[in-house]
Parts: sequence; C-alpha cells; structure tokens
Amino acid sequence: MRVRGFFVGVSLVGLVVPLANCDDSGTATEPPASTSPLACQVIQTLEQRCALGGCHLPHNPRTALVLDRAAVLGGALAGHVVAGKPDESWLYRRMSDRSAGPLMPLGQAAPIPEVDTIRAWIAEGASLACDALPPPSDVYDPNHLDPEGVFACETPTVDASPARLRRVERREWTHAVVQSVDDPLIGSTARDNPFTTPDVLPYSTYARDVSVDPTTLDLYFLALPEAPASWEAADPWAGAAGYSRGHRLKGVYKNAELNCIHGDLTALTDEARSACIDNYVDALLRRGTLARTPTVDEQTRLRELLVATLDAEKGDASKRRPSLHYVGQAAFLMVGALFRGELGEPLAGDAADRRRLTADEMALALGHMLGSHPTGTPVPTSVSALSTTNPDYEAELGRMSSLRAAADDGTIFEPSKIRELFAIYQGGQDAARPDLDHEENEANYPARGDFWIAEGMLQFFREWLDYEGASSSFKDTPGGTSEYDTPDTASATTSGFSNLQSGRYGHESTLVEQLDDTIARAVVESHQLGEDVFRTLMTTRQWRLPSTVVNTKGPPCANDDDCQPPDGCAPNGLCGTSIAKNTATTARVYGVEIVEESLAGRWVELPDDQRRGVLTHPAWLAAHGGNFEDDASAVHRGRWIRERLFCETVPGLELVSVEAKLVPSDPSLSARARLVTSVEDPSTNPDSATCMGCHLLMNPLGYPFEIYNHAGFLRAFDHGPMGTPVAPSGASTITLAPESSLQGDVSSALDFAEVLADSRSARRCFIRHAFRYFMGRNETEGDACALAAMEASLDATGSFFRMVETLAASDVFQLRTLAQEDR
Amino acid sequence: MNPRWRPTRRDILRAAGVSCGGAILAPLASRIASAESDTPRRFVFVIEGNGFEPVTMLSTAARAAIDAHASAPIGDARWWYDRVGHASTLIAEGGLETAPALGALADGGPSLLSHAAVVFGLSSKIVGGGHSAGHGALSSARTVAGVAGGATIDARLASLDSVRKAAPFDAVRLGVGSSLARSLDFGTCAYGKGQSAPLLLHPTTAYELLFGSVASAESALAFERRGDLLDFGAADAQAALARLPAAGAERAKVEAYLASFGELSKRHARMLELAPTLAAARPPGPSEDPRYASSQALERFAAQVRLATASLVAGLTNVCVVGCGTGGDFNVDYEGIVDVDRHTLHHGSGSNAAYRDAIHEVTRRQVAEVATMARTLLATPDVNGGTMLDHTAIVYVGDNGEQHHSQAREFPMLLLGGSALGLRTGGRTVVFPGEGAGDAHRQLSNLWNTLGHLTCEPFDDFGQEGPLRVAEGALSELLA
Repeated sequence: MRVRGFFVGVSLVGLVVPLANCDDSGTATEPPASTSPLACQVIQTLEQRCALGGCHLPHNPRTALVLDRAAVLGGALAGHVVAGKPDESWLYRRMSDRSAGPLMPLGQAAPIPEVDTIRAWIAEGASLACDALPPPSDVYDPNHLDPEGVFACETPTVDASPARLRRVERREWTHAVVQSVDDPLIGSTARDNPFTTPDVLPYSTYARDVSVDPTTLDLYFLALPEAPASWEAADPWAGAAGYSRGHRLKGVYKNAELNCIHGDLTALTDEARSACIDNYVDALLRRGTLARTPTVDEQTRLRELLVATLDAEKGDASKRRPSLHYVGQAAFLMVGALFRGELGEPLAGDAADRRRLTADEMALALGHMLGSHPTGTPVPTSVSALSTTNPDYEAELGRMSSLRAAADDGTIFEPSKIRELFAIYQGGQDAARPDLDHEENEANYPARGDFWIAEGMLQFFREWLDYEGASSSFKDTPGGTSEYDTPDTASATTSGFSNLQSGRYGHESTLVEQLDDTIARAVVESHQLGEDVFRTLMTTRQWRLPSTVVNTKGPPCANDDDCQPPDGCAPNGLCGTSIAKNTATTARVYGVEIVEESLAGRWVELPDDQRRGVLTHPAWLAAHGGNFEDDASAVHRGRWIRERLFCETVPGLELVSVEAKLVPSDPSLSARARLVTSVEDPSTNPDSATCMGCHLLMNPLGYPFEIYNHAGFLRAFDHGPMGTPVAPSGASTITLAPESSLQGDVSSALDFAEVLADSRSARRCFIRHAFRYFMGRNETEGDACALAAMEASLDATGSFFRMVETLAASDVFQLRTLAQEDR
Repeated sequence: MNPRWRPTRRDILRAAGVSCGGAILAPLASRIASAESDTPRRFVFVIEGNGFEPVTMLSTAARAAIDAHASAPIGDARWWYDRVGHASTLIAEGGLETAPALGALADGGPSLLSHAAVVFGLSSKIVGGGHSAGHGALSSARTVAGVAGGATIDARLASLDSVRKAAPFDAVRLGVGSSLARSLDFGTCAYGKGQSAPLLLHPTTAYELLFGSVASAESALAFERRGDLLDFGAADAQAALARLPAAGAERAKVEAYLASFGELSKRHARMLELAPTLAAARPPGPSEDPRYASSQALERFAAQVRLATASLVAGLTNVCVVGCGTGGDFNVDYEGIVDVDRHTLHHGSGSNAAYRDAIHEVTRRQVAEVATMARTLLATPDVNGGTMLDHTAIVYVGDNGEQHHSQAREFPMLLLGGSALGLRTGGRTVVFPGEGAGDAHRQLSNLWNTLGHLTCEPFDDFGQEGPLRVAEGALSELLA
C-alpha cells in the first residue's frame, strides 16, 4: 500500500498542515518530496503502542486523542508535534520525560525503546509520508467498536456470518459417544478427551484457528477406543468391562436392520449382505459420528474399510467385535466427526454471494446453541437414563429429536418453528431436571432447584460471568473477617467451604451449581413474568442454597457424647453422620446457618442488606477473588465489570514494566488499604500515576465488593489502624463509566447492583456478549441489525430465551459468506 | 560372548542398522551422530500416591543432624516438620543405607549409595496436601476438583529440545490405579492449566504402545492397525480438503489436522525404523511376565518401572513418569504385605505397629524397584561416554507430602543419578530449614527449578506459589 498516495490524494492541505514541517516560526511548509523511513516506523509505533495496545482508540470516551493509522494520517497529532523540535513536542515529552506526567504508554518504568525513533523523526521534520507502511495488525478487539454504532441499524446491511468449520468441543465429543460430562462414571475416560477450547479464545464456542494439533491427536488416540463402544456389539453390555462398556442405544440396540452386522454375513444373500453393510455404515456416520447426512464419498470410504476388515476375518466370528471396534474408531477420526460445518450452500440469486446453512448444518448449529448433544445422537435405553419429561425421552430420532425432524422436513429455518423448538428445549420449571439426565448422580437431583435452562444457555452464563473458577480457586481462611472468623468456628467454616467447592461429601450442590440454579430461576421467571432478565439477574435475592441438615438427624448436641455412635456432633449443633462435619456449615458463606432439606427449603431469600444479584453471589465473588482475605480482589472484580459489563478493554499486564506488587500483608491494612498503599497513593508508590492509568479503570468498580471477602463471605469487620477492627466499607466513586448514570458515589455492591441493573450500557454489553457466545465470534459493525433486533426483542419481552431465539432466526445466524474470515 | 561385555545404546543402534540394511541404516546413522553431538538428558519421576513417610528416608547421620537443632528429638516420630529448628541447610554425609527404606541402594547389586541423595525440608503448601495434591506435587500449583493449576515439571522438561532430541515420545507416563477398570489417570501430570497429561494405568496397554510393534504377532497387528487408522484419517482429511475453498482459515484447520496425521505417522515410521533397537531393549511382555495383569498394585508398579527403564534404554523417550496410586486414586491394596486397603492401613497405623511396618515395607519395595531401574541404567554405557545413569536424574517423591492426611509441609524425596548433568548427590542427606526459618526455607518448586538447571534451557520461575513463594531459582546445594 502506498500510504502517501492516499495521504496526499484525500486531503492534502487539511492533513499536512497540522503535522507539516514547520520553519522556526511554526509556519507550515510543503511536505517533503520523498518518503521517510522513520515515518513508517512512527505511524506503526503509535498504532501498536498507543492505539491497539493502549487507550488511544476511536470511541474511547476517556481520550480525545486517537492514534490509529487513519487518525494519525488524518492529522491527529496536530498541535502535539513541533517539527524539528522534539523537546518542544508534547508527544515526545510525554513518552520520554516523567516530569510531564505519567510516562506514555502507561505502565512503563522507563521510556520505550521506540522513543528514540520518534525523536529522530520529529527532528527530521515529522513528515508522515510513508511509502511502505506494513498492513494493520491482525488484532481485532470488538470492544473498540463504537458502542452506539454497533446497535445502529439505520441502513440496510447485507447480513451474513463467515462460513466456518467448528471443531467439536470437549463436552460435545463426550456426548457424541454417549457418556457423561459431569458425572465421572466408573471407568469412563471420555470426558477427559482433549477438545477443550483454547484459553486464548473468549468463549468455548469460538472456533477461530482451532484445529487438532499432533499432541491433541495423540491424546485423542487414548480416548478413541471408548468411542465406538456402543456400536461394536449387538449388546454392548455383553462380555465387556471397564472403559469399553458402551450403552444400549435406542434405535440401534435390537434394530433388525443393524443387528445383522453382528451375525454371520455369509449366511445372507449378496443383496442382503450389501444392504446390511450400507445400513450400518449409514447409521454409524449419521447418528454416531457426523450427526448429519454423510456424503457419498464419506460413505464409500468407510464402507470400503468395513468390507476389507470383514473380509480379513476369514470366517472367524470372534473377530467381529474387534473389526467393528476398529472401523468405529476410523469413523470417529473422520473430519466430519471432529469439525462441524457451517459453510452453507449458495443462496440462489443473492447479489452478495451469500450462502444458506443446509438443514443439517442449521440443526447442528441450533442444537449447539441449546446444548452439546449432537443432533440425532442416540439416547441410552436404560430406564433411568432419561426422565419422562425429557423432550427426547420417547424419541427414536435421538437427542435434539425435534431439531432433527425439523431439519428433515425443511421447516427448521422458519421463525415460528424456531420458536417452537426453543419452547421444547430452552428450559422451564421441572423438579425432574431433564437437563441433568445421564449427567449427574441421581442422588444429587433433590438438592438441585426445580428451575432449569438449556445446557448451552447455562454455559453462556458460566462463561460470561466466569464463575466456574469458584470451584478451583484456593482460599486461605475462607471465613476471614466474616462473623465466622473466630477460634471456635474458623475450622468448621473452612471445611464447609471446601466441600462447597468440591462437593466431595454428601449429595448437596456445589457453589457453582448453586449459582447455576439461581440463574436458571432468574431466567425462567423473567421469561414467565415478562420482566427484564438483565435487571432480574443484577438484583435477584432468591437463591438456591445447600441444605445444612440433610446429613444430620438431631437431636441437638454439644459434643460427640450427646450423639448415638457412630454419629457425632456436627458443627451446627445437631447429631449426624461423619459427612455432616463437612456439610453442616456449607451455607455459612451465605451468612445462613440452617437450610432445610426440601425443594422449597433450599430456596432462600437473602436479606436485602446483604446480597443483591449475581454479582454478590459467593460463586462469582470467589471466582474473582484472591487467595487471601486481604488480596486485591477488587482489581479482579473491577476488571470483570469493565470488560464484561462495560465492554471496554483494560490493557494487559504484558504491557506493564513497572513493578506491580502489593505491599506485605499487615493486620492494620484492609484489602482496600493494601491496594491504595500499593497502587494509588503517590506517597507510598512513586509510580502511582502510571499505575492508575489502568487501575483507575478497575479499582473503583471493585471497591463496592469489599463488603465481601475473597471467598464471598460478608465481612463482619475489616482491618483498621493498629489492628483494630473497623466496619467494612464498600463505598466508591465510580468514574470513567460509559454513561453518566453510572457515574458517582455508591455505598456498596448493593446499591451498585441497582445502578448496573438500570444501565443501558451494561445491558447492551450483556447483549453483545450473548451475541459473541452464541455466534462463536466477535461482533462487527456489520452485525448492527442483528444486535438491534436482539435488543428490541429483549425490550419487548424481557426474555433471555426470546433474545437468543431472535438471533437464531436472523440472517446473521443462518446465512454465511466466504468473503469474510472468522474474527 | 564375552560375559563382561555389555552393549551400549550405540552398539544396539549399530547392530540394528546392520541387520536392517541401508535403507534403515541411513536415518539411524544420522540419529547416532546427532546423539553423540550432544549430552543426553533424561529425567524420571517416580511418584507415590498419598506419599511416603519421611522416616523411611532418615539415616542415622541425618537424624543426629536434625536432632541437634530440633525442639525435641525425632524419636519415634514418622514426620517432624513441626519440631525442626535449624536456620541454615544441614548436610549429613553418607550412611543412607541406615535409613529404614533405603537398604536396596546398598544391596542387590552394585552399590548406588554414591549416586543417591535424600532431601528433606521442602514444603509446598500451595498444593494443599490432604490425601493427594493431584497434579500439585509435580506442578507446584493448586489442583482443585481435578483441574490442574499448571504444567507439571515432567511436561516442562519434555518440551525442551535439549531434552527430547529425536525421541519418538516427548514423555512416557505410566501408573498404577486402585482398580484395573481404570485405564488412564488424568490427575497426576499436566501439559498446562486444565490440560491433563494422562498416565497409562494398564501395563499391557503401555507395553503395546511402546513395544507392541516388535512384540507378538497380535500386538504387531494392533500397532499396524494404529498405522492404518492414521492412514485412513489422513485420506479422509485429504478428501475433505477437496470440498473446501482453495484457501482460507477454514481450509487451514483441515490442513492442520492432516499435518497431525503426518506427524504421528512419522513417529509410527520412526518406531518401525527402530524396530530392531526396540526388539533388543524390549522387556518380557504380558504373556511372559504375570505382573502386567497382577491384581497386586506393587507388581503392576514393578512392571511399569521396567517398561519405563526399557523405554529409556531403547531411546523411545527421555522423560518418564511412573505413578502408583496417584491423582487421588490412592486406595490401592498391597496383597502379600497386608490385607487391608491403603486408607485403612494408614488410619490404623497410629496404634498398630504392624500397619506402620507394612507402610514402610511398601516404601522399601518401591525403592527396590527404583534401584533396579538405576542399576540397569548404571550398567548401560551411554552413547557418548559414561553410563546412562550419569545422564539420568531420578526423583522418587510422594504426591501429597509428609503423611496420610498431609499438610504439604514437607515432601521427602530420594534422588538418584544425574551426575553428568550437574546433579550433586554423593550419598548425602540435605535438610533444608523448615518454614519457621523464613527466607531460608525452600519449597518443592525450587527442586523442580533445579532440574531445569540440568538442561540447556534453565529456568527459575517454575511453580505458582505467587505470594507464598519464598525464593525463585534452583537449590545450589544440589548442583555440582
């Protein structure tokens, strides 16, 4: 690209003057006749260091100075550079001289190396005439979009998404081989398959550059032997043990058309033998591995392998199961088994050369919105496998059977059919919990709530709120500074919290599952009542808690001697089993001592002056809390709000070169005081101005949550001067918010939750993240109409289900293009 | 045959080349040249699930050294982290054979005493302790709910070019579970956070993977079928490309998948090339050795140690892990030693001397297997001089710390070999100061960083203690 041509041709005068070579009086002169190698370097440096890697981007309300290449070439540096005089140039001084304010880019302990180039470039005349500017960085951050523009559907757009191949994700493969994701069935290693989406991608549904590298394939070969277990014998339960034990599948087990493959094929006529092989290959591909209609080429390839393998048996019937085991593994190695196509077929007469998903692709994509069972995967026949209220309980068509049927009759693209399908699978109120079928130990069901939402939707909330880490985040003294921070209660509180994380003892739900169930109720009830789901999520106090008495039988006790052996006295003062030691205190993190053992009893309305909304739930707080009670949890929590509720990016730590370290723990320092001392206070941190360039984006948003400790316990006290306990404080002044209604003082997370619940910016960010998750990609300006439609749906109904359904019915979801690449 | 002559790996390679003809000789010759141009660096981790007790490694000399500073003598204690008082590192020279479980270092063949060292005093509280720290022992990162907190040291070392060289496998990870129904252990090793690197728990499966290509006709068929599956997968991927646009990121995904088949096929081919070498190093197989399918955990453990040893000698890998009841699946049984399961055994050991003796007997037998491995390596000259043991650092350590319900306050360990890599053993017991010594205390992650210093690509930052980290870097007391 010849930038200079663009530069001169577009608006020579307007662009050159502000940045032009100036004589000593500052009068503009003509740009240089030749290009400057330094100019190319400077433009690139400003773009990478200051714009993409920093703050100086379009639409950032926190800065008026934009330094991407378009802005720089458009004259953004006007007034900031004095040609020939670097020491008088604001740009150079801010990047080289600490006395001019925090060194730019923020986070630097010393000037970046490129500052010498900038000095030389200014001294040379500050020309922007660059002849060989490298292409822009491939980094794309949707948070850099204009937050208004991305919802502005003012002119008709040609909606479509990039055609893509989506590699299956861990849960999806586990379900494809009819195993459980959450319940580690004895002997099954399927859930440990290697198809976890890389951490570098924001959501598990993203597929950009996700393939199968050699290490992944190596690991896949360890999981592969289990894959065909349900397909390799007439009765998979016969003569098999351990990991190779498959399930009897509805539509496969005792199916006469398929059973012939397990018998004496030589006894059949050529025609019958050929039909038997065809049927088996078709069923294995269609329902076992590809979850779609196989191509002729795929069928032919697998058929040839099967025929060759059967021929090699040379009449030895004992080789049949190994033969089918081998061919089954081959089928699970096929590209179609690991990559779901969203490529579409050409849309006749479309001027933009768009493509429509095939019916099979639509069924898979829609199914993936709702869960991770591939469409048509057979269900197990065992009576206990599915509850009678499961939508697929009687279905011969397998999992997501209604999607399969809609794909087969071609109605799957119709909005009314999509609504009908959502109604079947989206969730509702059912104590039988069809979403847990074949997933969880049935003994755990009673502890779960009676509200459920589709697995795919729940996974969105888990990933958006990012609370699964609550189960794996190490917490030293989880009850620290809470009312349970006493010598008598600390140990039992720790045991209870540990069990809340792991669920090891007893059958109550874990902390993560409790937030799952709480969210499910908020989503379902808001849908039923027509209330806004976002506001409900931000403010709900109807929470699902674990029973603390389920493993205690009474009577009241003071010590073990009061109980009938082998029972002992549980920490809640009731006699119970040894498991009670770890389950009787699990609700303390909620500030609750006793939770009754019943469906209704585990639903508890938390006090108005203690909790409000999912951001005050201990699962979210623990997931975004530190390891220690006086850690900088506020930073983690504030960052989540900035990025996941305001849709703004906080520059990464990799750009920081000043030492970022908390001062040592001290009994006289609260977590907030440690943070202030370490980061904010110039008297204790000479680099505070530099640090606050980024921390100002996080700390004020995290301080309201300081009424809770690192594990999510409500603080009863906090550290004060000389170690004297003081009242905890969540007071904060919210600054640099994306809208004025968010600015100002809040007293704690409780009123902050109300402010967030009413925020248009936060609600729109929620919509954008839903788009990202369910589309498996970042939004672009071209998605404005789809986003606007989602918002309109939410405005009209309040329903999360309706909002996602609107997306599923949109062109952005159903139409694809080869002209764009997945971002 | 001269009874004093022992073949070196180079001899094996040369013999294989001669017997295979020119077509195979060329790559082998290249491999020999490559191997000779650089020092082999091998690492072995033998991990006991639910740990072993410090007292089993305690020599008379070390006891005296610790007692001299302790708040109370060790006496009958089986662990003593809460009574140590020394503020600087103690070194007790010699006498390892006096430790209750280390007799096998002196007996049963050439003495290994000068090749060994015992280390006390390293904590790793970040991993939690309990029955098992999962991946934590080898990662110095917290594992909760089975999710690894970071890469384990074996994976880190195996990823280094100076360690792997041309070995077909980056690492060979084997283990023993409480039940034969389990085939893989995902709870001990990890490539990274949340990325388990499984241990193969069936010795027979491991044998077939490692030596199946040269074992029986049946296992050779299984090996061949794996090759056929690779070919089938590659053919399908090639055909799938024809249905995709000529260029672009989506096509690149399938191309990458196709390339993965190519990479594994190359390894498959390398193992075919190495067939004579593998045949020479191949241990007796399942049909010849009943320990492969034994119901006794320690017999399967012996089979796995033997497989690991053979893998090193054959050049299949330069990193091995052998676990026994690791990853939380610690409740193995020890038929022939005691008739209760491990959990019951440990719980009863406080008041039952027979149980305590049984626990220590388990450690003795494991050390004996490790010693057998070390003697095999000691007896095998290496490609560029010295013995294979000189170029192999062996670590025997527990996966949870000092006791059945561990607090991860101390991870006792036995080190063997590695002298040519710079590991200093010399029959010493090295006792690092306890937690009460503040900055003088050292952590398990420091040992893992020490191993990093034995490679060409040293590192100091392994471990995720964060604010709990006392000091970065290696343990100079263990470096020559």
